[in-house]
Amino acid sequence: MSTYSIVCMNMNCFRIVILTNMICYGRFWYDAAKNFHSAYLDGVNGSRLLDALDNCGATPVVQTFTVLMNLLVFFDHYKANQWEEAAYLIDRLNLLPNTQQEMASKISAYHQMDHALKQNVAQITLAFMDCLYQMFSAFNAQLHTLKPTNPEFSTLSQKLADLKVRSKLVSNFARLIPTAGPSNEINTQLARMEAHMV
Amino acid sequence: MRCGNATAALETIQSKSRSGGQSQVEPCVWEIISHLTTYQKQSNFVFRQVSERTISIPAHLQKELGELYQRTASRTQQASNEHAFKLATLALLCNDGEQSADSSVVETIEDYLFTFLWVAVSSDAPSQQLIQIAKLLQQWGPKYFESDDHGSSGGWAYAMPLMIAQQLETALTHLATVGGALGLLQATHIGILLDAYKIPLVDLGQSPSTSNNKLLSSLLSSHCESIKAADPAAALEYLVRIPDEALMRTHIQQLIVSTRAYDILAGSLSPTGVRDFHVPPTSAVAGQRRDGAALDAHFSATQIAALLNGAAQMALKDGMVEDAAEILALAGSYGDLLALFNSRLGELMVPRDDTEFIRKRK
Repeated sequence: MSTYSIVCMNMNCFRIVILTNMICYGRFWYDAAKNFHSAYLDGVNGSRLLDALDNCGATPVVQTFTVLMNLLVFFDHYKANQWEEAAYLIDRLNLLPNTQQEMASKISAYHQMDHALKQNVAQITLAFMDCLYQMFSAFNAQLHTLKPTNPEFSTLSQKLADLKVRSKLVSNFARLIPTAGPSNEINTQLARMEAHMV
Repeated sequence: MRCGNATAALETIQSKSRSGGQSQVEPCVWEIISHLTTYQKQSNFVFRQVSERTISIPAHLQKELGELYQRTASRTQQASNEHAFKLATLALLCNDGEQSADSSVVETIEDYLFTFLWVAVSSDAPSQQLIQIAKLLQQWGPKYFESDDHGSSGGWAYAMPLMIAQQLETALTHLATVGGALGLLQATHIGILLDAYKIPLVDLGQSPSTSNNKLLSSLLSSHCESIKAADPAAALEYLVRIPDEALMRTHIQQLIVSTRAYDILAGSLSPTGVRDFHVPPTSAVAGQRRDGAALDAHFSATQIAALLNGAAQMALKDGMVEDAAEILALAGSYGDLLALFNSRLGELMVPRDDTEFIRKRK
């Protein structure tokens, strides 16, 4: 878990940092996908192959692959209790709504998603909510050590308020998408975490 | 004459005559053998196709020969059977199958078959004669021909008479079935050879239909199965000879998946993501050298990509998902490969039975 590498990639005009950690399950696929990415989608060879994939209409597959690779990194951060890094990555992936205005477009995007992504959205939402909750708890604890006159007090208060808003959005988003699997259990947990952040 | 070479027979009696030896060959026999050489021409055999009468002896010669046969038979009855071979030969030249077969000189199966064949090719309907003997052979069955119960001939004791009677399908099937790996190899090679000369691999008397393809395909694929583990490249050499293209492709795809000899058959993936077929020769067959991947010796890059794609689908169907990914990469089907990555990564991202994950922060 301690070793990681940074691979930069440029896909559809956005830049995402992939931090690849070792995982204990699906190792073959994780390694194979990582190797494939670094060997054939990144660097000099990358543009040639990407062009070929674009030409054969495989752009959506490439995009899904990119998002999945980043989500693997997100879960690695999550499992390592690196809440802020994990939350930052989810923000960059643009899967969940940041504002109420984005809600409709994100739900629409969900319905357009590849099944490989769609089947994980509930778990991603839950993990992301957990990140927000953990950050909220940490900030809240920190806030209680400060006097209201402290300049950081207002900053932390704003962060807590932002996290509350974000958690509400995430919870609403989860309720608005049809999730496979234990959706009731997931929604219950989301609601519980949201409630703790009030 | 027994080998069917009338020219050689004529040269023998001419040579004997020139050397001053007392020739025992009657003039009419001499004349008949000379006549037979006209059928043979530059060939080594006097026998040609069996679909029609191939040997016809002029009436006056037949008459003379008949009289000679009667005289010889009469002398043989009075004296001993010292002229038995001569009498049998005359009987054959007279086209008297019964007399020749009843002779004491016909002792072995080979003698009997030769006698029967001679009569058959001299008859008006040679095919019917052969079909007749084929029925007898199949009625007697393999045990009648084998000298022991262990099939020590490797199937040949029965297969050879069957082939002589032009029961090619039954003969090759028998050889491949009871002859073990060697019998299968022999049957396969005979099948390839006969097919190359457009000879239908069917029993005489049966309509060719599609049986030719079926038997040859079956022999080739069975032989491939027996050698593929030791030498996948050699196994491919047999599969590419399967006449039915769709069947050939299926068998090659099965070979790719079952042997997993991707580098030998299809090469390896270069750093640029292109299949590199210039792999070093790795064939296990002694003395055989290859300059590249085995598939490239027979197919174009496009055809290989299609074969590999099919093999990848086969691997997926068999649950060999990791192999499917490798084959898709070799096929250059990066879109499909990424779709496979997506599918697997999507499934493996969050283990569904990992309750610890869901309940972690309850």
